[in-house]
Parts: sequence; C-alpha cells; structure tokens
Amino acid sequence: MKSCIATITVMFMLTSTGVGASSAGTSPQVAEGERDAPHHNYIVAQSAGYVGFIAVGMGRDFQRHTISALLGYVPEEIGGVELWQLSLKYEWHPFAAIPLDDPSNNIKLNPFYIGTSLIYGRHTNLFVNEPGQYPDGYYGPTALRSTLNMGLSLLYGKKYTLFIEYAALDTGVVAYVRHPEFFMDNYDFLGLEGIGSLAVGIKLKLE
Amino acid sequence: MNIDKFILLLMCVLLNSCQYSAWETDIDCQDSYTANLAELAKIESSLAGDAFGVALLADIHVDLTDAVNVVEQIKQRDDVAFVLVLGDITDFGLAAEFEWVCKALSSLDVPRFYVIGNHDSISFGKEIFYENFAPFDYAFSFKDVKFILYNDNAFEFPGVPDYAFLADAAAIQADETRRRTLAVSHIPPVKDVHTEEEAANLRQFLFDEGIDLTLHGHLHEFVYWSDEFGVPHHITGRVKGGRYSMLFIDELGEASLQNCAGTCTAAVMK
Repeated sequence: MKSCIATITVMFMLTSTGVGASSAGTSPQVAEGERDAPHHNYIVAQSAGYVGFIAVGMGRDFQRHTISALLGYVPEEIGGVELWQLSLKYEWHPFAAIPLDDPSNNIKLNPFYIGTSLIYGRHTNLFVNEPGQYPDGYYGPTALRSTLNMGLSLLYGKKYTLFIEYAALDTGVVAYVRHPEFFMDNYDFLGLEGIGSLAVGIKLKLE
Repeated sequence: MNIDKFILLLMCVLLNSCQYSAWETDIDCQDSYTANLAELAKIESSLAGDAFGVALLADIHVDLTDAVNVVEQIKQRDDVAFVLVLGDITDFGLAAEFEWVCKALSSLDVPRFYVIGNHDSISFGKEIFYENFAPFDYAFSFKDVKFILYNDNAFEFPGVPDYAFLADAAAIQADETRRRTLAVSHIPPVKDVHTEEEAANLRQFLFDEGIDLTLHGHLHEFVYWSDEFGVPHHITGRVKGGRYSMLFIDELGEASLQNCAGTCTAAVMK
C-alpha cells in the first residue's frame, strides 16, 4: 500500500488556491437545501481510490444523486504497469450540505455520501471476454472491477467541491466479510486499510 | 486551523494508504524463494538423520481464515521441514490477494516454496508472483531428495511445461547422491489444460526422467493414484475447511503421504 500523503498535499494546495479565488466578494451563507437545486454538470479530477494516479472526467448532479465518468492513468513508475482506466461512478448524498460557522469563507460540509464505481482497465493482460483457449465461463472478466465508496465533501462557494473518499475494492469487501479477524489482525483501522484506498478529488461546477 | 485543513489532516492520519489501481503490481509482503532457500539450508544442516516431513497446501483462493487455521495446525507439529504451496493462492491474480495470502502464511516458522497456479497467472499475477514469490520453474534438494517445481499452466503460458528444464533438473549429476526425485506443479498430468495426448506424453516423460512421485493441487480434492507407468501422483485438497497434506520421507528414502482435514489419515492410492 502506498502512502498518498504527498498526493493529498498537492490536491489540497490546488484546492486552497481555488478557495482563495472563490472567497473574494463572497455572498452571505447559502441556505440549507441548495443541493436540491436544479441539475448541474461538473468537471472532476481525482487521485487514487482505484480510478488512477490521476483521473479526469465529467459528471452530472441529479439532486442527491451524481453520476460521473473519469478517464484515469497510472504510470508504470507508480503502479508497476502502465494502465489506462475508465471509471463510472455513482454517488448518493442523503444529507443536505451544512453551512459551517465560518461565514467569510462560505464553506459548506456535505458530511457523508455513499457510492460505487465500476472500473474498466485497458491492457493486453486484461480481458472482458475470455480469450479463445478457455472453455466458456472459465474466468470472469479480468478487466472489470468495482468499488464501494463513501466520503465527505466540502463545498466552497457555488462552484468548487473538494471530496475525500474511501474506496473498498470488490474482492476486498467479500474477503473482509468472510475473514474480518484476519484483516483486523493484519491491517490498521479495523482492517479497512487492507481492502481499500483513500482518494481525493475536486469538482468544478459548470454553468 | 481552517476546517478544510483539519479534515485533510485528519484523513491523512486516519488512512495513509492509497491505491491508484486494482491492477497495481506492488505488494507489501514478499516471500522470495531465495530467502526461503537460505533458511532451508540452515534447517538441513541442523536436522539429524535423513527423515523429514513436508506440509502441502493447495488452492488457498484467498480463504484466509482457513489458511491461518492450517498455518496454526502446521505450527503445532514438530515434523515439518518446509512447506510447498501448490498454486492458486489467489482468485484473480490481484496484488491485494497476493499480499493477503502472503501475510496469512508469514507466521509459519519454516520455509515456503510456491508453484504458480492458473488463477495466479491472470491479470498481472505472473509479474507479481515472479517478483515476490518464485520463478516459474526452479528446483532444490533437501536431504538428497530433489524437488522440481515447474509451471504447467498451459492456458496462461503457451508451450509449458518446459521439458528442457524438467530434464535438466531431474538429471543426477556425477557427484550427486539422490534418494528420490519429486516433481511439483499446480496442475496434475491429466486431461485438463492439456489434451489427453499431451498429458500422456507428460506422464511418459516424467517416468523416463526418473520422477518417483508428483505433487499437485488444482482439483480441490484429495486424490492419490498411480499412472500407467507406475508413477504415483498426489493431489492435495483445497485449503478450505482447514485441509492440507503431509509428505514424509523416511530414513530409507521411502515416501508416504497423509491427508489432513481436522485429523490426518494415510493417503490411500486408488
């Protein structure tokens, strides 16, 4: 497992720059429930959480639901192999954003969301349909994986969102349910370190 | 401190691991055969006599609780010189799976030697296995018994097994004392990934090269039979349920096998 502290630091620095820009001429606190406003498109960038060393894409809010598609890249120096990935993400935000007690910064906290990702990895080692030497059903698709995600986000003004997410790999979720003691004995944070990854990203609302 | 900085710091502290892809190849656990060979040499020189036991684990398939269970059973014994892991430690050849099983077996206090299984060979499993566990074909001797660990995953490695390697490893050198020659692979020499003709040719070859016994996994059940050339073949059942096998080589070099599922009983040849 790799440390992503440096990555988070870089993303935070980029986000802080955006915070400074959006704080100028800040309007009064936006009332709760802004998330229930009409649909929005956005640009998204994310690092880690199995979607890539860097992944960029677009998404759309549907009130409390969001769907996004990201194109991710993992350099060989980082992942051991060079990979391109396409991820489809869904999120459900059950709570309205909460204005924080910091009016000058116009920051709202979305305290919890849950979601899932379907990830397609493009590489000659991976396949969706089995190559010809295999009997039918010998293996499932090796180029597809999924994750269960949960996270929180900070909304800066009306355009910027920073999110921090924990993504648990599908095979890890199954293994954890079947062997919780093993993971708790061998990994930190109730064993969740062994089946998942932190991710960080930013969204820029369009319109 | 602003709330955003606080939350980021908190998350950095709470979860300091990142995975950029499910198909990364780095794992945080290594069980290299070179380190295990060095350990085996120490055991060989300290072990009195020529009798020894070998634990056989097969088809872990990320059954981590069962793997830990078997590890604890093996640690209770005093007759295990080393462990052979007979392939398919993963389901999908993913780095995370290799790491979990490596950690599950890491508390064993005897060396471990792995053969690659077909499931270990998909995705980037070949690279991960080779970098962290063992080559695909290698051999070593212990108490004048030669163990030849070879790759026969023909769907994932076209052209295997490497007959030249097998012949070279099986050959007895001029200055060598050899009591037994054992061949070890994930898939037995039967019609499976090989055609019936290919499997028969392999069985003939193993006999011609003087192989006394072969050890395998893959079939998920304990099986023990002798082929048309009189070469015995043993399959260790899947580790699920806490199963493993024991190979014993006695002072005279005679081999015997036990299948263990709670209790250990002599393997009966079909």
